[in-house]
Amino acid sequence: MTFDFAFALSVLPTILAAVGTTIWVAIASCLGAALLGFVLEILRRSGRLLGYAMRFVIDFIRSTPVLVQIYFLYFVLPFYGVTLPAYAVGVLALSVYYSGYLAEVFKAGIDTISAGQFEAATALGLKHFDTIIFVIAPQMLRNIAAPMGNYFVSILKATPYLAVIAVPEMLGAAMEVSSDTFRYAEPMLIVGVVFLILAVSIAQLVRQLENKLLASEKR
Amino acid sequence: MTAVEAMSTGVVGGVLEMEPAVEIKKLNKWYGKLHVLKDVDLTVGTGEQIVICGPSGSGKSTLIRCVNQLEEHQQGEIRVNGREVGPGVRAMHEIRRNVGMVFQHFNLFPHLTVLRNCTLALTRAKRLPRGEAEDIARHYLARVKIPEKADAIQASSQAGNASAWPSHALYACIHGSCCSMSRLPLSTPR
Ligand SMILES: Nc1ncnc2c1ncn2[C@@H]1O[C@H](COP(=O)(O)OP(=O)(O)OP(=O)(O)O)[C@@H](O)[C@H]1O
Ligand SMILES: [Mg+2]
Repeated sequence: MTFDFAFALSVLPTILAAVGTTIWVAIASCLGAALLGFVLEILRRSGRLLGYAMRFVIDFIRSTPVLVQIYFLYFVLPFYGVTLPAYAVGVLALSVYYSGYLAEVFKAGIDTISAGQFEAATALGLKHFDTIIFVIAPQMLRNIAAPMGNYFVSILKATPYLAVIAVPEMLGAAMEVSSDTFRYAEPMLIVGVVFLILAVSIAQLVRQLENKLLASEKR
Repeated sequence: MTAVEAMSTGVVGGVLEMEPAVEIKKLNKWYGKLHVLKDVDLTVGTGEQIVICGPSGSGKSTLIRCVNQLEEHQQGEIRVNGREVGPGVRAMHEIRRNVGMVFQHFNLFPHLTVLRNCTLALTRAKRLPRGEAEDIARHYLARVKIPEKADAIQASSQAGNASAWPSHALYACIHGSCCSMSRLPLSTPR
């Protein structure tokens, strides 16, 4: 199979039209996964029973394949009367799946904060919620910007899974082109290159964020 | 190991009023088998300033940490501004809001500016408006002669003179009873 440049150019607009969906699904999933992961981790640290329950939930989420979770939410939720649009199921599935991993990252980030920080917040009479938001979360973010960025890239690269439930993201669009024309090299190469560009951009953004957070420490 | 036992209080400065700020009766505290505080009785009046001194490991920090319940005690009674504190007391955070504390290692918030270190508790715990809290903080920062440090990030790299300004900065947010754990530098007379 030879690479047909003219053909590649002709299908480029169709595929690029789906980039928007890929990007916003990825961003929504990153936010969802980070928020849910943080909540799971905070709950895991709370009282005994709830803590154990959350440990189980987090391990469970991490040890089931993401495709299984996607299919499960897509086909099983309607059975219980919850019918969501495909993209909502997609964002929900990626958020849930990666929240398990991000919870572990957050755990590492919180573990490195010295016990004195919790004590200082307690001594000042701050409530638990305020301690988490104003004292713990910012210091945690500074500790884990890099590994969190890695998972954001993973989330981006997991968006093609959503093709299986017909979310109109980039891989889905490319597959459609391919099955119409029986040419795979060009569409797949385009998809690969666009993902590469997006992934590098995320990595760059995260590096800048990290530098900013660390710079504020040194000032 | 000598434990802090039945200390008497003396007025060092300030006025002794009737209402005790801190009242401790027959306080006993163990860390596992280690009996750190033995039958401690202590009354500190409002406005009274006291110094508790003793050899390292005698339990000074432990006693102070019991007052705001960073450590739980096993026996005895502690009252702060008339309210009993102890394990199981609800709304401890309300009592803690009126107890200031400077930690032995300061435990300042490294991600916040000096000003925000001072105002965090005022705005979030005491619910003062931001502007008012900052006025208070700046007032105290000026009193400890470091108003220009207000917007600096509290840097741990300044460990060299760590005792110089951050402790004062934190002191600025102390409005109630104050507990300060510090090792006075013996070489520099103050
Ligand atoms: N969390 C803890 N668990 C077990 N033992 C502890 C704990 N904290 C303190 N101790 C022990 O309790 C005793 C009293 O400690 P504390 O820190 O109150 O002494 P201190 O008078 O403040 O000493 P220093 O002058 O060195 O600050 C020490 O023997 C110490 O080892
Ligand atoms: Mg001490």
